[in-house]
Parts: sequence; C-alpha cells; structure tokens
Amino acid sequence: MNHKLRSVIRHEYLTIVKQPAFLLTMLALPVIMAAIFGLSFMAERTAQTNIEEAAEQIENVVIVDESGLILPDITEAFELELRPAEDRESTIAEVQEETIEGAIIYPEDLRETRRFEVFIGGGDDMLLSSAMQDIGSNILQTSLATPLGDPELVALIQQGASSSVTAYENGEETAGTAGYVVPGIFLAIFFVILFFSMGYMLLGVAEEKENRSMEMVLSYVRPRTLITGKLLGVSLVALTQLSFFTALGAIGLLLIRRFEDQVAIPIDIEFSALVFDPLTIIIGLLVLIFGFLFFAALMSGVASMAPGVKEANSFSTVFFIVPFIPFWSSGMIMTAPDSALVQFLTYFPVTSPTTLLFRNTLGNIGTMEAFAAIAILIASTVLAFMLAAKLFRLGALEFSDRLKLSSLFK
Amino acid sequence: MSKPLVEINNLNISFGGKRIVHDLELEVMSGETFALLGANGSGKTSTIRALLGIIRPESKSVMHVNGQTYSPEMSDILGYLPEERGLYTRSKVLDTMSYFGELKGMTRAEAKQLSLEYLKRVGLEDKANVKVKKLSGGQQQKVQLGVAIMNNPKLLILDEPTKGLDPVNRVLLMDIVNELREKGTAIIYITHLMEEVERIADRLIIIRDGRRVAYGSVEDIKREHNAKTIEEVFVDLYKEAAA
Repeated sequence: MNHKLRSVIRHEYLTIVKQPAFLLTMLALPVIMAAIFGLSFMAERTAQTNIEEAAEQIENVVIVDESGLILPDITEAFELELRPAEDRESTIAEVQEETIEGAIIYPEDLRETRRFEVFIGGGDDMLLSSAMQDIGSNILQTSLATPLGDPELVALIQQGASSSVTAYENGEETAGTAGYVVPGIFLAIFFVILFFSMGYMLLGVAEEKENRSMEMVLSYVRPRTLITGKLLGVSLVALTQLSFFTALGAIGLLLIRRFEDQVAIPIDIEFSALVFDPLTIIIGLLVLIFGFLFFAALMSGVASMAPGVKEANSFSTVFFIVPFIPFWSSGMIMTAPDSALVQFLTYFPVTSPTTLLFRNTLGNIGTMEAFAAIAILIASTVLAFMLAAKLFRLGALEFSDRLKLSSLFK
Repeated sequence: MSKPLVEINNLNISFGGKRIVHDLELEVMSGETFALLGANGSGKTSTIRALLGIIRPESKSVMHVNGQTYSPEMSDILGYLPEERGLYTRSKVLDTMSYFGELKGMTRAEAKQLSLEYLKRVGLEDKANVKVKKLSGGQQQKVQLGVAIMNNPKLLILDEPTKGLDPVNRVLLMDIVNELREKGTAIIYITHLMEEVERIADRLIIIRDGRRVAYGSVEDIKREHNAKTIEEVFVDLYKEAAA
C-alpha cells in the first residue's frame, strides 16, 4: 500500500478513536440500551404487581349480573358479593355515596357489545380501576370456561394459543423466520454504521477545512489519496465499533444462556436453525460495503462544500433520512417486490442499499436483479467518490463561503 | 549558468470566465530568496496554488519545479506555508508534525526525530505532547513553520509567514529562512511588508491585476524606477495604474 495512503488511514483512524467522545459514545450505547430495557421491564413488572396486589385487596366491590353469564361459584371464589340484575341502580347509588368501594356490572347485551361496566367511588383511581377491570375480565372468562369442565380447556380459553408456521419451497421445508436472521444482521449493521461511523467522515473533512489545514495537505497529497485514506480510516473505525458491539452481544448471549432459567428471554434463539446461505451472505456483504462507501463519499463531498462543521452537519441531515425511505414502503417491498416503486427503490443508489438489504432479508430478490442493482451501486460509488475528490479539491479554496455546485462544471 | 528550480511561462488563470493572471513569467533559482509582491487580489496566491497543482491554470501554461510539473509525489522537495494555514487542533503537536512529515515521504521515525529537533530549536520541546489547540497563536505559527521546513526542502514557499508573529519570533524565522537559503533552498516569499523584502530578498516580482509589472534584483528594480526603496516602487506602480 502507498506510504502516504497508509499515513492518512492511520491519522484518520487514530484521530477518531483517541477522542474521549468516541469511547464515551461507544460505551454509552449499550449502557443506555440496557438502562432503557431494564427500566421498562421493571416498570411493567412493578405496575403488574401493584395491580395484582390491589386486586387481592379489593373486598368491598359488588358484582351485578344482568347478562346471566356469571357463575355465583366464581364470584364467591373471589369473595365478592353477586347481586341480581334489578339491583343495578341501587348499586350505582351506593358507589356514588361511597358506601361501597365500587361495582362491576355485566349488562344484558354483553354478548353483543362485549363490554362490561366498572364503577368506582372516591374519585379517579388508576390502580383500582385497572385492578377492577382485571377482576371483571377474569370473572367473566372463568364463568364462561368453567362449564367446559376441563382445567386445560379453561387455561386454553383464558391464555389463548401460540402458533408455529411451516412453509415449503419446491417440496422442501424452508427455515421460516430463522432464515431472516443472518441477512437481517447485514441490514442492522448497515444502520449501525450509518449512525455511528458516517458522522466521523463528515467531521474529518469539515474540520480539516475549518482549521485551514486542507491547502497545506493538498500540496503534499492528491485529493483522491486523501479521500481514499479518510474512507478507509473511517471504515476501520466502523469495524472497531462493530467488533465491540459484536463482542458485547456475544457476552450478552452467553449471560442469557447461563441464567436462562432465572431470566425471561424475550426472543427464543435457536442457533442450530439459522441459515448461512453463501449467496445471501455475499449479496449482504457487497451491499453493506458499497452502501457504506457510497454514503461516506457523499458525506465527504457535502463536507467539502460547507464552510465549517456546523454547516456540514445541517447539510448532512438528509443522508440520515434518505436511507430510511424504503421502510416507509415496507408493506409494498414485502408484498409487491415487482411493483414499479419497489423496483425504483431497488435500483436508485441512495435507496438501493436499504431496499436491497431488506429484500435480501425477506428473500424476495432474484440473483440477477440483486447483482444488477449492486453493479449500479458500485458504479454510483465510483462516481460519488470522483465527485467527492473534485469537491474536496475545490472546497479547499473556499474557506468562508459555501462551495457552489456550479463550480464543479467550470 | 545553473538551471532555475522554478520556471513559470505563459501562466494564465481564469475563474468564472474572468482571467485573473495574465501571461505571467518568472524564474526562481536555488539558493535565492524571491519575493512575490502585489496588492490583495493581484493573483499571488493563485499563482502559487497553480504552481502546486491545487488549482488548474489554462492549458498552455508551463510551470516546472525541478524540471517537471509539480505533483504531490514530489512533496519531499517542498515546504509550503500557505496564507490560509492551520493545524489539526485536536491532535498533539508531535503527532501533527510527524503526520505532515510522513505526507512528505519520510518514515514515521524520521519525521518524529526531525520534529523533536525542530521543537527543541524553537523552544517548544515541552509542548510535543500537548494538543495543538492548547498552544498560543505564535506557538502554532512556529509549529506551522516547522511543518513546512522539517524536510529541508529544495523549494520553500512562505505566504505571509510573519503575520501574527512577535519581533523575537520574526527574527527567529528570518534566521531559519537565511539558513535554508545558505543550504541552497529556493525561497518564494510572499509579503506585504516591504522592509522584510529589502532585508531578505535577492530578486522579486511585482504583480498588478495578474500582470508582471516589475521583475529583477532588488537593486536593479530600484535603479530602473529611480526609487530609494521597494515600497516607493510598489506605491508608484499602483498609483500609475489608478491614474
């Protein structure tokens, strides 16, 4: 490798990773994610526990059954008084006078409306309200299921059933959702890189311009060498971040496996069911690499046009929005991959990486179609790179004003 | 007679359809200090940028450094301190200098050693591991000069090098420039300070509206224009244009 190119790569890489902000951002992400998941999990558990405790403490609540569906044995089991239909108005009056804590009324038209009423005395009480709704549902479900006699059937009605899907392709059973995991990882990596590493490309160029070092650098290095060095330096930064997050993920998985009997795992991961299809992996890898390089080249071009970091940042927002556009059409991408819109998103360079990775995950892209779109993406990356190098050379001379696009053609 | 290190012939530069440098010609010899003079916007910086390939001149322009068109592959012979200059403020002084040394073709070890020697010479050895942004303006200027000269260049281009320097550091800079000239470096010196020109320049060119209006040795030009100082010549030439 060229000596100067190697120097630029090392300089870019070390300048970024030596920044305290880089380490802080990298370490903060898993901490913040863990905190968010932990807090929401704890909050949900605490709320559920509080509701269950409140439900257990409910005593002075009356049940009025106009529907004829509630079994007295059930209300008795809950230690609640069951009143006949004609007591409706007097019961509501008692709640208003706060002689009883509340009432649950199952109306006559419950079968049609599928709605029961809850009355609470003593003002709005979210906890009591939730607890009474829980008890109301529970009494109704149990009353309806009990005549079946079989406790398993009662549980089935109350808790519902999950489902498993088996699909066949050419007579062979497919991997199902497990087949989405490996190509889906490329999509996830693309967005991690886009959000965590791309900004460094922008900053690297914009700062060089802002601190007036560009002209000096360009007298010693060709713009193309400099841009290539920056791209490869930022690629190494992305690789460092990915390695860190992968290692963290691996540690997380090991911990989950170690404590799986004590911790409820939100997703059932079965590694043996994962599919490592070479073609899918090659497509994912190519799109990931050239998608990253394409956006990085665009970013450096944008940074070259702006007079400083602040202006470059405001310019760049569009590059953080555009890759998301295909997700707004995800329904069409899933159900109508041959539609004109999806074809456009597949081949148009700025939407192509996300669409290709998404379709590669879903498995609804043909080999020829994928490689044709990748070829366009590679050609666009080369063009973006050449454009960035030219903008970089022109931008070196514009320290205070924004570079005009028209100067590209002079 | 030895071959000039820098040769510029028929240099024409245009921006946005407007020509800003017209048929400029000049030569700079090894071991001489050559002053490039002109009012703001006269085309001095553009001439240097074209010489170094940073901007493209019109097609028939001929510019040679050491017998060939300059390219970044020849950066080992160049030292350039541009008017718009700066350093990587978030990097350490030694890292910044070493990086530029590498860009000039040195190995990292060589670049580090030469950087440390220079920092010692200008009294900044204790700042080697300090971030550039922590240095004063004058200290940053000294580091910038160090970046330009650390490779003992054959061609040194200094665009307003004393801007912002105190008298002590100005003398230090002049000493360094004279030392390099004695070693055979060709120095192109751009300045608005005419007393500096009188003190250090062997020959000069005055550019007005992108055209050469005076060219030769300091003494010859003063004699030709019947003036006591270069400042007098400069002011007369610009007054003449305004009249």
